[in-house]
Amino acid sequence: MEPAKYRMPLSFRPVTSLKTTTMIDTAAFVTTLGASFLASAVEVVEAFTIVLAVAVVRGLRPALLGTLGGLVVLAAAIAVFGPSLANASLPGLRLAIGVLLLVFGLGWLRKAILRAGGALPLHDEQSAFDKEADALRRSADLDAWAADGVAMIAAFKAVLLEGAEVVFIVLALGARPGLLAPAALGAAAACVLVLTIGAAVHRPLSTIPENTLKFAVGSMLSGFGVFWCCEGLGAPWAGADLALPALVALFLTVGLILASWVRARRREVAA
Amino acid sequence: MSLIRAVLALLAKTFAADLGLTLTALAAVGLSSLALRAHILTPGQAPVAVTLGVLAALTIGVARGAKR
Repeated sequence: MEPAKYRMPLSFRPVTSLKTTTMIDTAAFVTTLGASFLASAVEVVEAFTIVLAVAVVRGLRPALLGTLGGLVVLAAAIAVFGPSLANASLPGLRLAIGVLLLVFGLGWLRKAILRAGGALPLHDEQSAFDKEADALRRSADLDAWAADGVAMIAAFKAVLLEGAEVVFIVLALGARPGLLAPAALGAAAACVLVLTIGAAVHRPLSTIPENTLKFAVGSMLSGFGVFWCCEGLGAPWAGADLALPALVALFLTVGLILASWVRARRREVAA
Repeated sequence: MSLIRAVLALLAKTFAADLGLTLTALAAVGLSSLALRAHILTPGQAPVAVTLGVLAALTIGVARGAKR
């Protein structure tokens, strides 16, 4: 039996470190889930717009066949690259994933800041839908088989390209022990939600505040990117995974300040 | 062919839409890594240096975009 004077004070006993560990795990879980959900929602909305245009102009068959083809190729990509990225433990691999996430996230965040500040036009799902539908109607001069083929390829391309970004985000965010599940769960929830809303309203989801979502996602991916880069460099964060939400909040705050600066600058130039 | 072109356009859009931003961010990470290896930065200071470097890269990228 341990003498009383050497006993660890209650606050330093393992139960406290278990609480801290749980808090850290929860922070990483929630941040990963949220980032994956929002990023996937943005991409699925864009893919849905094109698939809907195909379905409206050429019917459900080419839309579903193209979507299915895209999903099969994506599933194959996950099967090939997933296992090698999941639970990335090599510092070099962590650094590479961090750099990719950082470049990806900064690109989204910069564009969202410039759009919020009025320096770039907002992305318009209705106009993307109209453009795709017009292109498909022009192919109606071809015979029905060829026109369906063009429509199917359009749906396939949209699902593959937007889906590739979802796959990249899920694999990159989940490339850490225990985080693949929340990353996949977030993406799946986004797909179900967007497709359910899309099927119900049966028109482009142009009322979704896409730039606000991109702003949040850009901040999240940039935060994850910086976090992973430092871990890959062998410079661990104080507070471990609790640094993740703090980094996301930092990027969000700086982004909002920059957006208001861009707005003010445009007002000055216009005056 | 159009699919390959679309994939290449996606990669270009994703990683090279603002080449300046990409290169500045990479420079921030690379310089911090070099400083860490040369013991100019401690492992405790490196995350702060990377974060500040990346935020500077973002600010420069936004300022350049706003001027266009």
